[in-house]
Amino acid sequence: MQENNKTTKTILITNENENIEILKDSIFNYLWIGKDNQKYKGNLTIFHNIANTKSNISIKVVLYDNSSFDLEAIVHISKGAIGTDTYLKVNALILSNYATIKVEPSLEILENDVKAGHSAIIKEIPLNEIYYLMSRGLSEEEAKSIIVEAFINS
Amino acid sequence: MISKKNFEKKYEYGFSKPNDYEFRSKKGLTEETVREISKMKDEPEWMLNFRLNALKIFKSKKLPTWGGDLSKIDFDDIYYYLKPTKGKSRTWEDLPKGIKDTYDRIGIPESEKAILGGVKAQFESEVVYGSLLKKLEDQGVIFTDTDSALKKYPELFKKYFSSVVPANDNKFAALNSAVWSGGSFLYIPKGVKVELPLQTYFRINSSKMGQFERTLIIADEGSQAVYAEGCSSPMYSEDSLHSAVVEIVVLKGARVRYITVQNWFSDVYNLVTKRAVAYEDSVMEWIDGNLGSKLTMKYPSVYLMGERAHGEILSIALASNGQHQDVGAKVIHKASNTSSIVNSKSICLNGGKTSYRGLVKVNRNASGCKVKVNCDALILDQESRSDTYPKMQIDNRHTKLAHEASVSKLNSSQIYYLTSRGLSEEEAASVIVSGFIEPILKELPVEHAVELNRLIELEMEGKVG
Repeated sequence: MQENNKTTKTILITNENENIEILKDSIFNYLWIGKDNQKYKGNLTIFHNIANTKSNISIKVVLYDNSSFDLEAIVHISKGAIGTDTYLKVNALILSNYATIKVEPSLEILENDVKAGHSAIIKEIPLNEIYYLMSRGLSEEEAKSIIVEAFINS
Repeated sequence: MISKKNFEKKYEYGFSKPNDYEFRSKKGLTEETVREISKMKDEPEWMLNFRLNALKIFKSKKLPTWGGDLSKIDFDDIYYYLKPTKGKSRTWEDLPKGIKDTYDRIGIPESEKAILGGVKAQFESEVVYGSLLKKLEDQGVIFTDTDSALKKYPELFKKYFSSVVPANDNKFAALNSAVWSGGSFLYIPKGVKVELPLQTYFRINSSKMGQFERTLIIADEGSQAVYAEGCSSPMYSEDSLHSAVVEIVVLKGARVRYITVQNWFSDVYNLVTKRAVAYEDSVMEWIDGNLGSKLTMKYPSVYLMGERAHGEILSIALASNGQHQDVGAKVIHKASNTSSIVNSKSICLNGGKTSYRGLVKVNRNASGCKVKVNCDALILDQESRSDTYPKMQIDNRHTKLAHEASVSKLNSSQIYYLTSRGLSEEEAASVIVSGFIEPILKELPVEHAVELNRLIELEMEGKVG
């Protein structure tokens, strides 16, 4: 595949329901940062209807305050979409005692000559990372914001 | 590819022996049937009321719209209670010949020779054969059928019965609560460690018959036990319904491992509610192998109620022609510092369908929980389908959750490697599949592991990756 034949998109999640059909090799990076009482609830469906396409979907969620996030992300590989290679990744960082998250990364696969996978990691900032930065002279708040920035940009 | 006719010929456990029933309830489910069952079993008033209440719940609840296709079950065309022979036999010689012949073919005497705890065999709706090692009785372990337990240990029974799975939990739990019969009751006293796996063989032997076992296991503080349940059901032409409820209470510091290998023939609807509650410092493990059946819907769950409790669910599902395995796992973290591991492997071939449906929930007041979920699927041909629906709901920030799923076909480079070492393609495929399920297979007792491996090899015959 040629490099310029690829779609790379970074998207802030706003649409409540989104359907995407993969027509060429694609990389999608989604980001949602929840603050105050922000709530998100929606669906994301990725369709692989044609053969030999790749998709790489990354969903990052940062939760502050009272925010809540609820996403059902489905990757659907239709009959005939042989050679599909897809991976969906959900990464969430919880920074508040009152934030909640609900995710359901689903796979529906009707073809066997494919590669498909997903992963989800949900955690808070590990204390040792904060302590490390604080031992280097940063305040707790500064340390947290650097770690969050690194999480978003990684 | 194996044609269905060919396969049936090869299906070694597919046989059916004629039976004389001492009692058979009328087809269909009415208040009268429920009263009759309760009367036949000579049950206390509270149990009759419990059954009648459950029947009302069953009638009021709608069939689930998710999961598999349940629309073909005709609840009016099922016998809800069958009683094969009078009473229960203690020794092998006392058993009627027809039943003995059937067991000979599954190899129960061998299992007994191998000193496997107490062998309880479920034939039709009631336990007709039971032998218990003297050693267990001396330790104070109660291992009996659920009907006897209701009579002999009414207080213990009433305290825990339906405490884990209430009748209004779901439609099929309500059905089971209304018409349950048979099943096992196991109580392990404080601090007792049962070293041998306790085994039960379940069989359905009559077409159009539903089996509604009710199993209740109570592991008192600091106790340990392994319970193994194995099924291999003969062939029928008509649909059959199996809807069991398994309740497990794991008290402080106790450890229970529940092992199931189910191999229903491809007419059976297997709709099972399995749930365990685990208290402080306890460990609950479900190990589940699902083969055969027309539709299996089974989601073993663990409610982690006490601090530092640990839950583990390992499962294998195999779906072949016309079969749908809708299986998964549920873990609810209700207390702090609890941990859980879910590991699911599924294989579909010859047009079979496997689904993983899971739930992980961490409650707001449960801090420091760790969760790891792993589901892998193999799709062996183009006609088959694999779905994954893992739900995760995290309401506490001090949680570490990692989930991973992958779906693939047989790796062609692995097949090339093995064929270059002198294996045929078929053998190579079989070796790769064995390797795929190995992490779970090694947790099974040796007879189950051998049986499961043999059954998967049988399904794989004629299959080239």
